[in-house]
Order: sequence, then C-alpha cells, then structure tokens
Amino acid sequence: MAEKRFWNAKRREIALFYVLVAPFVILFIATKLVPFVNGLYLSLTNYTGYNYDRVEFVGVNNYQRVFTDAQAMSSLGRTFLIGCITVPLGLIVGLGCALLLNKARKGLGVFRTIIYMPSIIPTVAAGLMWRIIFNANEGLLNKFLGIFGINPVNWLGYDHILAALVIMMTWGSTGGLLLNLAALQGIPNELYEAAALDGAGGWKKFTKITLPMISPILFFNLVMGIIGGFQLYAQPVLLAPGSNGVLNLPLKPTYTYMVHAYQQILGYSRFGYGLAMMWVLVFIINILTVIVTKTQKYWVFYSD
Amino acid sequence: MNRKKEIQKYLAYAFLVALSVVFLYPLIFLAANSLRPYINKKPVIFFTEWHVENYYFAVAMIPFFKYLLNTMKLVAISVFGSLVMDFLMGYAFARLRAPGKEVLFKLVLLQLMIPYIAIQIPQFVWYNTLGLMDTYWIFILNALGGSAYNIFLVKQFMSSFPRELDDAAKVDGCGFLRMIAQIVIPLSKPLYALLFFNAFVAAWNDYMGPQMFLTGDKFPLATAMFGNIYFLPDKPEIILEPVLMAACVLFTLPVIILFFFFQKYLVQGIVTSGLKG
Repeated sequence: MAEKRFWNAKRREIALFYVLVAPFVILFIATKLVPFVNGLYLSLTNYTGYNYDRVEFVGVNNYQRVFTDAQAMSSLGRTFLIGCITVPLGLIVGLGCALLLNKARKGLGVFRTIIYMPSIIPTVAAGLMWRIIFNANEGLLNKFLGIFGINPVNWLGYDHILAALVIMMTWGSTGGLLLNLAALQGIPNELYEAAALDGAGGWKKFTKITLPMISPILFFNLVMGIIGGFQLYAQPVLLAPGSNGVLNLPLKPTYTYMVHAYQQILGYSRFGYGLAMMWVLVFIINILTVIVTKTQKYWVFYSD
Repeated sequence: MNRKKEIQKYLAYAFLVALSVVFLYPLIFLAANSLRPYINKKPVIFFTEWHVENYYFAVAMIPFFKYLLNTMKLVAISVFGSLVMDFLMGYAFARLRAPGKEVLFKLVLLQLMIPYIAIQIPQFVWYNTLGLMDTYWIFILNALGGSAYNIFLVKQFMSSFPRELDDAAKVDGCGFLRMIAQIVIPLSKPLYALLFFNAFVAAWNDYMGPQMFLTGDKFPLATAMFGNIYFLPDKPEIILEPVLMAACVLFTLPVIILFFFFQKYLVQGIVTSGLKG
C-alpha cells in the first residue's frame, strides 16, 4: 500500500515535470529552432521578403557579397573601433563607480540609484535627451563649455558625432555596476586584513586582492560588452538627423555594421543578403568570445 | 592610519557626489526643459519655469495613451512569462526528479547560445508565413516559451533550497500550486523581484521587437517615440523640444520609480542567485 503511494507520487512528479517544461520544449522548437534553421537556409537564397514561395538557391553568393561590399567591411571596422573605445570605457566606469560605492555606507541606496539610473532608462528616451543636450546652438553641453570660453561645437555634425556617441554611451554604461558591487561585497575582509599585516599598501591590495577576486565578473562584463558592442545600432540611429525612425541614416563616422544590415533588410528588402550579414556577425562575435575566453587563464581567477 | 582612512572616505564621498551630478544632471536638464515655454528657444539650466501645459501637449499631440496602453499590454505579457512560466520551469528543472531532465536542460543551454540577432529576422519571416504578423500572439508565444536566461537563473537560485522543503510540503498534503504560492515564492522574494523588474523594463524599453512584428496602431511608446514625433503641425522641420522632453519624462519616470522601490531586492537577488560567480 505504502509502496503504491510512493510510486504514484513519483509518477505524479514526473508528470508534473513534463507538464511544466512542455511549453518550453515545444515553443523552443516552433519559434526559435525552426526559424533559426530556416534563416540559415534563406541566407543562401535571393529572398526579398516577397518571393517566399519561389526563392532561388544562390549558394554562398550572399556571403561573398558581404566581404566584397565596401560599406559592410568599412562599417565592420568602424564598429570594431567604436567598441575598442566604448567597451573599455564602460568597464572602467562600471568598476570605478562600484569601488566608490563600496566605500560608502551612508546614502548607499541614493548614490546607487542615481548612478545606476542611466543604464535602465529607455534607450529611446536617452537618445532623444542627448540629441537635445548636444544641440549646437542652445544645447546644454555647449552652454557648459561656454563657461570655460570654449566655442560652440557642432556635436551632431560629421566631425564630432563619434565623440558625441562615446559620451552618450559612457553615460549609459553603468549597467555592470550592480554585479561589480555584489562581487566587491563578496570579497572576505580577512584577505585585506592579512594583506595589511604583511604591510601591503592600497594599490597593492587593489591589484593583488580586489582585481583577482572580481575578475570573473570583469570577464563576464567584457564578454557582454563585446557581444553588445558589435550589435551597436540604436544609439547611432537616435543621434542621426532625419525623421525616418529606425531607418534614420547615421553620419558616416557612426554608421555601424548593424545599421547597414538593418538598412539592407528593412530599407531595401534584401533579406537573403541581410541574413548573411547577420550570420557573419554572429560568427565574428563567437570567434572573439572564444579568443577572450581562452585568455581567461592569464587574468581570471576562480576561487574554487 | 585611522586619519588616512577617514580622508579616503571623504574623498570617496566627494567623488560620489561629483559622479552623481554627472549622471543625474542630464536627467534634471531634461525635466527642467520639459517645463520651459515651447516657443522660447533658449534652454534653461534648472527649474526656473513651470509650463506644465507641455505635458498636456505631450499626451494630446500624439495618441500617447493608446501607445501607453500598447506598452502596458506588452509589459503584462512579458511579466507573465517571467513570473509564471520562467519561474515554474526553473522550479521544475531545479526541484523535480524526472528521467530525461538533463537532456531537456541541454535545450535550455542551447537556446542560451543562440544570439538574438541570428533569429530575429528569421522569426520575422517565419511569423509572416504563419500569418501571425501584427498580432500579440508573437509576444504571447515568446512569453509562454520562456526565456532560457531566466530559467537558468531560477534553477541556480532554487538548487540551494534544502530537499526537506519539498518533502515537508508533500507530507502536509499541500497542493502543487499552493506550495509554490505559500512556500517557494516567499522564499524567492529577491529573485522574484529581479525577474519582475527585468521583465518590466525589457518590455517597456523594447522598440525593435514591436517595430518588426507590429504596425503603427499597435506600437508601444518606445517604438512610436523613436522618430521625432513632436513638431509644429504645418512645419515638420521645427521640433517642439520642450514637448518632446515632457514626453521623455513621462516615458522614463515609471522605470525610475520602479527601480527606486526595487533596488534593495535587486542587489539581494543578484547576490543570492549565484549570478555573480
């Protein structure tokens, strides 16, 4: 009798498990895996968004085109360079703010809220806001610089748009803050006390204890930064002139790879080509992530 | 030694105040200028004028509340997916014993590895052929299917619960849903808050998903506001900056308020969910 009840309970548990995870399995296949494979196939065709029933297989043509498309290649290099500026800056801002907040006891909540805020406010609102701050004639930034006698700068013009983009993105790059802070607060105090007994100074403590202890989080933030950096799209478009919404054309210095890809797909209906562009990007991101992961053994320390 | 520490502390506070000004001031500028007269071109640097009517224009010049309602629908779908589906699936993977569990969890990890940009356009094509375009079904299916990232997070979090917990509940003859509501959720408060906040903000801020899958009438605020939508009726080249800024304030405020109330739980949620290591 008891045995039977045990088996019933066990069967019920199994049934419950499958009922609960069934939506995930079914919908993963139906809404992600199938489009994924289908998308891979369509990147090998001349699909335009209208000729689904009569697409022609064109082999690797689209992929060849990505590498011969001067705009795709130059925008890829540009995206990489922008990432080389914004990703390290973002890491430094996130870490620096966390280090300072870690020292604060009183008012931690208020400071934390204020500094974290830029990373949660909607990208669209932030972009519209910065456009007005960058305004050449009466924008806040030029007004501020005017105090120091600096002539108004045309931030949204060709020469300074990249600087404007970097300023805006650095302002919004405090997203890694909470993770950093959690990691800092997880470092056992005994480590610092032991180091102090050995006569270690502040800088030594920082490089020998703090940095190694939070290096897994820095690594995580770096990988996320690389993935996000290559997909940079919204910020340049929001700073661009015009009123075509998502199809606004950024000025050349901020014309990124994803902007070019979305232009191909949404602007010119070149789905096959745009998909090939996306796949090339996914491939590049994966390679870079693998390389960065391989460097882990030189600078990332896992306590266990 | 102590003196040095004290100085360091004051220096840290000084830096924090300076940083707070840098991070906060653009938002103050936004709010202050949302209240300046919309014909006067000169911006103000602080709250010196109070033209509240800009807020009236912000909601009256465009179908603001319709967009807001659309946003709320998407937020509701996203929050449901996170708090109900992701939570229960994460629970199943963490606490229930069933054959084939490990294999199915590999699917979760597989989904984690597929980048969104690799399936976004294919999904667009796929939903088009299924005739689901411009319906909320796309978002509902997405929510029902769960997010691999959240499932993983919930599983990590719940794996640390003691085994006796489930047994105790069973002995009490507690039904499954009652156990979730009365035992599991109260024990997972920080995580639950983190899931809610992330789901809310993700849906509130998302402009690309709706841009792809919906059309004008169903656009949420984020997508609708992407272009410059506030201009003089007969002169589209003249953007009504103060009105646009008022709209930005209205659009941003809910997220900030939400964060302020949730931040304590969010930090706890990150610390306890094992996300940090």
